[in-house]
Amino acid sequence: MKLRIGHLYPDLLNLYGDRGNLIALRQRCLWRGIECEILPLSLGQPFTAADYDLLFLGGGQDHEQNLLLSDLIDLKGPALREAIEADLPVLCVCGGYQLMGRYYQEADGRRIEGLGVLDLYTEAVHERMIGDVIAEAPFLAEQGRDSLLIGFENHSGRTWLGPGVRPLAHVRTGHGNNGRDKTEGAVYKQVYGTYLHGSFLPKNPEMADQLILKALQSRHHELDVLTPLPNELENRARQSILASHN
Amino acid sequence: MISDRLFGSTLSTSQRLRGHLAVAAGRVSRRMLRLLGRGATALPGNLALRIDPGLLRHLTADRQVFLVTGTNGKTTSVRVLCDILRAAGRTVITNPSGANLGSGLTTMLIAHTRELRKSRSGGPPPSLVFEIDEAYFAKLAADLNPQVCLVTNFFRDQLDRFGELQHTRDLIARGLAGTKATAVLCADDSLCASLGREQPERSLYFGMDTAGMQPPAEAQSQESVFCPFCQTRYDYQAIAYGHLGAFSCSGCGFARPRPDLCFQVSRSDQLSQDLILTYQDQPAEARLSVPGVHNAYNATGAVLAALAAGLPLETCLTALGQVEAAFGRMERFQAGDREVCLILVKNPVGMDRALEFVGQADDYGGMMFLLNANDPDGRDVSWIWDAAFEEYLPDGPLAVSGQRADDLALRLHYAGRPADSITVNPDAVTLFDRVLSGCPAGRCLYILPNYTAMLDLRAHFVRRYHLREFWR
Ligand SMILES: [Zn+2]
Repeated sequence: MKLRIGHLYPDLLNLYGDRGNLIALRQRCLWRGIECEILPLSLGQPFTAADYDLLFLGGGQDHEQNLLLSDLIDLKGPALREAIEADLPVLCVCGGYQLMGRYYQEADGRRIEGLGVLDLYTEAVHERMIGDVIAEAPFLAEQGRDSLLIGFENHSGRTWLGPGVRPLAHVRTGHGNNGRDKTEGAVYKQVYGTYLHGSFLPKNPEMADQLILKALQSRHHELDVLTPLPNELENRARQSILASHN
Repeated sequence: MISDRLFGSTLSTSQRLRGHLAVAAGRVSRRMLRLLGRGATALPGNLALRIDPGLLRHLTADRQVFLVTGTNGKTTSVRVLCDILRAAGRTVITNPSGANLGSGLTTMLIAHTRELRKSRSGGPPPSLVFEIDEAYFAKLAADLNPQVCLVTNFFRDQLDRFGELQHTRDLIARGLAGTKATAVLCADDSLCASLGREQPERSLYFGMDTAGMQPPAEAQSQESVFCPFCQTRYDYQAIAYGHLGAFSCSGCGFARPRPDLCFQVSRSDQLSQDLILTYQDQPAEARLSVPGVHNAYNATGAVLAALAAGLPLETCLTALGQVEAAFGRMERFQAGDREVCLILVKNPVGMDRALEFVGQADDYGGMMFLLNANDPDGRDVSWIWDAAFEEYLPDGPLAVSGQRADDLALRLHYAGRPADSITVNPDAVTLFDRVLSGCPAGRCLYILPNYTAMLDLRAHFVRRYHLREFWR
């Protein structure tokens, strides 16, 4: 069995240790004897859905994000939208999450168009939202998994969700999407957006396994569970954050 | 009548009076803090600046002043520059404790009023060498009257505090524009070199000889780099490490400037390296008593800064052999029949270099990491996922401490290490004792802490192994 991950713009969107998400996906596959291939998908390369089981988009510095907008929307956009409607799993973090929304509004009112796959928009604010986040994710609870998402946020955009998406989680500690409505991240089909770094997947193994399972199931319909892993150090790292906020 | 040797004769009587009052208040508070056994690095300066906000400008007027800024390697560069100046017979006043804000610099000058007075009365003039935090450079540069400004590099670091790297570069450009100083810039760092475009007539460049670099295909660079002038992705002809290398822009033609001084490493081990320094097409050999390519960059930058101030090359080369590792940057001491080596690590590139260095050490006897997340460290520890542990981690058991020990243990686990080969203990001293007892006699225990973790553990070593105090 093999998992093929498309890493969108690895040379442009690579802030705050987002690479940790790919390391987690790969290791959790390897520990289970599943092969894992990470394929870079950068500027100028067209997107072909059949080549990938899962996509990942990280965060980036602002002027680098502007560079890739036309590539994302015009070159890869049409095929990407189609694949997402057909349930291709996608994880997008911070800047990548914002890019998947309808638009990003700069402090001076100028709007930067996003891919528009997620029904949400983001507005720039002056203060940064920085710190630990602990949030309750209902879709993980529904599957009997540990439903707490734990991570570190560091963003200066406030994101507001529209009716076309569900929140990924509800914030217990931290700011989340906007510091107001207690939502964190967004879900549409199999697209998961979040502000959590830290890195996100190493510290949220249930979320990592959910993505791996969904991604493998597209070609291995018979697969219904993954071999459990001990998650010993994962749980320790989670506990130490939880304990520091009690 | 108050002596005006401290301030020179251009100030008015009331300005001088205020200055002396500020200095006196600072000196008294400094003496009291030291009597209480505290390292007085910021408070006395703060007090003095509140009495005389112009104090820094007045104390530094008409003196030989060097500023050192950039994201990495400031402390080592300062150390080398000071050693060169001392070898040339100058008295040096500098800020060794990493107190690089206005208050820290003022405290330092207040502590040296005797030397400052001497120079105004015809004694040998002291050189002032200031390490300036990149976030404060724009604010402080003009007030310090620098003759030479050395900008080491721009590595991604602590983005949560400073925002974008480009922003940091612009802050330093603004700072430079407010001075008349010669800028000494790293030719191989595109953002750093780009500072010279705004003032070509007073910029000098240092770098690595491209003959010693690797072809870009073999060297893995984690980040691609874009031209700040036209946003085109750079082409690299060769790479030193990280994003440092021979770059050029196909969009606007901006390219790595030809270095005025470049180095090549002809031999290296874990204690020293031999460099060939080429200045004005003349190669010369020098031994640098600190290892690591990043330190070769730091030393070359410091030599060029000294040359820019008119010091002889011969003196510079001799001084390199006597450089001591800056506190905790790479510091060795004896712990019974074993050695301990402290290497400060605060970002992914630094971690990769440290791991590579430790991996090559033939006296390797064990390894311990410490990760804190206090404000000076940056509260976001996600950067550990960008370091290439997979590639460089030495074999054998690993030990982890610090406030975010569990995060780092998880990182090492995902680099392929079994959970039971990683010992985690938030109490650094207890863990140190345990790891040291597992280190074979005659071998070296390598400790890689980040900033505040290093300060805490080093304070313990000062008492236990009688190392030098930090603020002296
Ligand atoms: Zn250009």
